[in-house]
Amino acid sequence: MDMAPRWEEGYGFQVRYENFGSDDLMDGDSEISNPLGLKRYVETLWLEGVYTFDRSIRATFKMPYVDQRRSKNIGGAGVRQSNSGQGDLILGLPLKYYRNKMAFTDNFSFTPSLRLPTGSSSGDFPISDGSVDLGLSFSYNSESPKYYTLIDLFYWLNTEGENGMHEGDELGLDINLGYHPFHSNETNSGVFVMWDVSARYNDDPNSATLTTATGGQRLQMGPVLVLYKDNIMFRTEYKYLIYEKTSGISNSRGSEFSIALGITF
Amino acid sequence: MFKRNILSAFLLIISVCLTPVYAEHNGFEAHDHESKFRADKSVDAYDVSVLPGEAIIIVHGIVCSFCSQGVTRNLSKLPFIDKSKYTKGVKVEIENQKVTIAIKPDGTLDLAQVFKSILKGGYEPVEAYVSDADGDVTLHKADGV
Repeated sequence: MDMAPRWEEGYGFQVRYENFGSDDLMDGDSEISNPLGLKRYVETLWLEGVYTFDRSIRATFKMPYVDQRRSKNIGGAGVRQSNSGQGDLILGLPLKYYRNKMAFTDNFSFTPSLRLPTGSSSGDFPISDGSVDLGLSFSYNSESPKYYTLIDLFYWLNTEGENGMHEGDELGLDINLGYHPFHSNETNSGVFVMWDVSARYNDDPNSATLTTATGGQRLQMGPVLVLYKDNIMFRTEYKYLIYEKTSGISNSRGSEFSIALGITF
Repeated sequence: MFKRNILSAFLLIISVCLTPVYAEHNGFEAHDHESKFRADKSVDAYDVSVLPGEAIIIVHGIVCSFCSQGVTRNLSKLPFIDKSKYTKGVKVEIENQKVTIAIKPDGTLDLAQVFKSILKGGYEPVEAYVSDADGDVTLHKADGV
């Protein structure tokens, strides 16, 4: 599961596609009419990698390629805008403390992260606000042959970027509760099913920021399916939007879908 | 407010998770160092049955085969492992935390290397049950590895 690769000098890669977006217009926690047809959809393809020095120290990277489009209210008309290209590179340094018991393993992780402005901040719908951002995550992960738990609390401190743009800070909590219904020792293959709960709070961006509309809070949850065979893992996830409150008039985040294929060595 | 709720939920969940979860997995018994058994005869604490020419290592925390690839890979590189059996000479059983290794008929088992390979794979070896060609089983603790 997410504990791989925990062996010394292990490494891995994952390609992950995700999308979110909606044409629902929110004002606070209420959906309002949308006569201009305002909408926002974002698709991202992530290339992610990890290297394990030993099980307590890893290095990670995440490089996105973003394809986004929206219809924005400009002067009382819905104006279409779109952009695509490389997004901001995220580097992480997970530090882990493991405990291994008989049929049980768990770990605490402390992960400082850096988001570098490798994405373009130009255009009327920029991919990046051009800032260097700092992230910090604290997580707890446990696993037995049948059950799996991941709790991750993180904070992104977004600094001011180019052209006065300043996205709001983000606080998030993710909880994964998993069950392992099938595993074959002979073929090293199996299935995991999980339930994911995600809560997010975003501070408002400043008025110069073009990348996002408003801040707000939301709660999403949904099923996760994981299949693995030897060193290859497939994961797909759907997150339903359970609750959302925007701090102004803004398109809803909508539901999210992701699908990923990973390999470790 | 929402920020505070997220923090409170996190602290509550983590305290619940940390309390009793793995206490149930702690009830194994210690064995005398280098005790002898007959092959194919179960040993109570871990229900170990060792075939001649094989060794079974009890490994704490080995509950996921995707996570334990490093153990399999490290062990299969050892010169005395018979790669013609199991998966490159190694079988991991995640339900009971057993790692079985097949030993070449002319190979000399080096348990120190076995224990170190498991440690480098991210897990803690506890003890090994080693069967010789005659079926005599010897127990070796992994203390101090």
